[in-house]
Amino acid sequence: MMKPRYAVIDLTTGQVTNYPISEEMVAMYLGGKALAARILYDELKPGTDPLSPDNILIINTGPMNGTGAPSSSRFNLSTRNVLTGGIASSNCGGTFGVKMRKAGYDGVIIKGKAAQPSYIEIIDGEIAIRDASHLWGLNTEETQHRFDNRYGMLVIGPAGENLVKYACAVSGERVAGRCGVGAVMGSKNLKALVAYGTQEIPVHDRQGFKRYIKEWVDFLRSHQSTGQDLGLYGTSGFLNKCNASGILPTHNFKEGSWDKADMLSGQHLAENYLTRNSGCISCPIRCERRVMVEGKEVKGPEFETVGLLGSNIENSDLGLINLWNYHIDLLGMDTISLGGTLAFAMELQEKGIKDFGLKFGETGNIMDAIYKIAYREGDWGELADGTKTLSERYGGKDFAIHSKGLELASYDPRKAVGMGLGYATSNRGACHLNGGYTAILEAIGAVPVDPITTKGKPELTVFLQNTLEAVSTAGFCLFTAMTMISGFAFKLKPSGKIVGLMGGCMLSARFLLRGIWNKLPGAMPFNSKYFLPHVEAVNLVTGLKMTSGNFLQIGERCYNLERLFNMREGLTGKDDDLPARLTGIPSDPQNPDTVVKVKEMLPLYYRTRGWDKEGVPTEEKLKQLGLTR
Amino acid sequence: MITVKYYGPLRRLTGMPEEEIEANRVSEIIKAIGKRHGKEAAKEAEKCFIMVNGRNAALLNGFRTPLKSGDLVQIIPLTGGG
Amino acid sequence: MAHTITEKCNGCGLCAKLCPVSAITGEVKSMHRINVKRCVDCGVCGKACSEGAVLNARGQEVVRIPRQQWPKPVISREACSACAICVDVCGKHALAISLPLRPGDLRVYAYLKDEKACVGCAMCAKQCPMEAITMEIAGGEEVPA
Repeated sequence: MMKPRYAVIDLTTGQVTNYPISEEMVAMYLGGKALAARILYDELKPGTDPLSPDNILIINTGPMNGTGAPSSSRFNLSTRNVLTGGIASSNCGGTFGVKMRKAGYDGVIIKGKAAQPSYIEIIDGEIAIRDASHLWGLNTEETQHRFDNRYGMLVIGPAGENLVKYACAVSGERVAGRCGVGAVMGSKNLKALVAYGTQEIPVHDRQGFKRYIKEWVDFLRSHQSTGQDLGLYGTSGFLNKCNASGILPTHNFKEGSWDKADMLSGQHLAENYLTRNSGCISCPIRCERRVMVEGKEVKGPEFETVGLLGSNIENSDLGLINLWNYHIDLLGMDTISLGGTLAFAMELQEKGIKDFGLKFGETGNIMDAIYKIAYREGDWGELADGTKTLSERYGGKDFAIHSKGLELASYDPRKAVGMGLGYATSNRGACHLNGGYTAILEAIGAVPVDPITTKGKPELTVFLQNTLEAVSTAGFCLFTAMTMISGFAFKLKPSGKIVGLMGGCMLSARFLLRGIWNKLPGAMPFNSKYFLPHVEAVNLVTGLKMTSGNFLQIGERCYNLERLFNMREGLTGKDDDLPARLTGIPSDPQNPDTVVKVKEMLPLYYRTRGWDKEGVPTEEKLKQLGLTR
Repeated sequence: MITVKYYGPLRRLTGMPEEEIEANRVSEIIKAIGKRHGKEAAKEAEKCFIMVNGRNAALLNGFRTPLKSGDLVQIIPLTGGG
Repeated sequence: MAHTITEKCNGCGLCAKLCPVSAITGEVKSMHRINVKRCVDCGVCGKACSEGAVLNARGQEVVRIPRQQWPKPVISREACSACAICVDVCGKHALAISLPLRPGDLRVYAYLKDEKACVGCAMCAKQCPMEAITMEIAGGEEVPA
């Protein structure tokens, strides 16, 4: 196995040194967010202000990046979270990760703060810090135009420079959106990273790997979800279903459905705005939307963006969302946190608590507000601090829709309560993906599980969280895990009893899913293309001999390590919570069960994870995962 | 009377976004769609998610899920998948 | 390994212009150099050189070939998954993903958009995970990538 090559770049002193990664570390963490969490845990002093020079930003890849495996261009950014104070991990499908590996580095660990605006150049195995005064102030598109267009780039926009707490980093048109990683770059005077090189990416068994991924790509293309639906309608293809299931956030998560939602759906987008679909490099799924904005073909909005800048602020004009989405990307902000914050400001106005001049249903001043937020100008500049800070400043904590400080994604969890548990426990804050994406089974998927019951949800959430964590760690897009739901299910009548029973089986599997974690990896001594095709691909690339059990254990290990990091930064079990609106006020007044009973689900969730009653990983669990020293 | 809302290809096949149908069960809705809008529409409806008052019929009683006057039935294509 | 330039070089700069990874530098009318770390051994420099000044990785002189006979990528539409790795890897921006024929058409594929820009370096063929690309000389003869 080739050892990954990591460098420490100290922006204060300008020094670049190597950071050794042992083979053992690769076997335990693979790469990506898991390996980054390990490095952060080892290197970051507890209590470091996220925006201080002492914070560490890790930008790294997994073993699959650039190998040609399907949907494997995703690279990771980890640091201390600007919004939550816990761990931040944000992942992006741009070309920077692949190009960084081809330039000879698997990851960089960035420390300190440059004296003046700078960018980092990683070319042919050499790292240099260069002056970026001429780039400072430019938007993300202009900045990238200043470099050779063959380079992989990762840049921030004005929002990152101005330390907007939910500023993102942009690579091409793909975005590492969440957790304020752009602000961390800005705080270090780091405008951009660029990478280019032609080194070969190591693959242990090249012949076997080529054969395997060909089969895998064919499999993805033949699957209803990854081969058809995501390509046709993108992620907003979920919207109508979410609306009908009552999980489409409306009016700052007050309601779960909206009568005008039809105007925001993926089908509406496809029929009225879509020019074509596209995708990240190496992806056969191609869920990216291309739309015309201001005479240019640009990236269209994702489902999250449509929900949070649509129904959640009561805007039914999809054209406007396309336009805002483009400008928010130019400025470099997270559309999820921004949308959530706008809705919170609107509700503050509605309740007469604080008037920011933003009202539900009024869209005329939003563009102005977006720019003012990015530049932190005037009253609207305050919104750059995010929902949690605003609620501490003005009140309204009951309807400040965040967990740990990170705004919720576009799924109202009251009619998808497993998703609610996921939001509450997710290490980086209320993220649907880090939270396990249980909503995909509860409200969207071809095999539905009962969305209201709490039975089986803790177990399912733990399983999905660990699975997605492992998939992400290797460098894959999470959509490659969509095929876990057999293509066979899509051929059945979606409303017939059979799929209902299949969904029921998933919840009945809870006893199995509860016990399995203490018996890994031995309890899953197999590999299957139909279950997790990723495992065999990783084996062929790295030369490891993992089973599905080993692979899932990497996900579990990562989840526990991130939890340890959070605890060291002062987060406790009490932070595994959601705002009172979601835990106390039923989404459906007729059905008192349509709330997220976090307190009811947590004990079993903790138990399934091998954590104590306070949510602290037990010594036994840590020992089992090899996390004790 | 049941309010039935159509999404996706069904809207094109039926030529309308919603209509009122008299029915006691989900299966009767499908039958009625077949009668009013043709076999193709009924076939398409079977391939869709059928939501009864916001709940997936698969989790209720499938095509035998009973309906009462005033219920809302939404028929949504599988797009976006699982 | 990498290609190298010998003293026969007359500094015409053609190789530097053609190199798909910009590995060659040098002043006009003086000897050019190949960056060993960057070179992908595609041999385009040598095929273009009028002086026979380029040696391949094994130290043999690369034979000049008229440009019309340089191989071009031929892409199988059936095998291509439109993952765009080839589009990204092409230093000459000669490849693109086709446009859908009608709304909802998902059967798109990579194609040689700018034949003149292509230098036949075969990086696309080497990187294609689906092995959908073969390098062929005009007239149909296949060349190993």
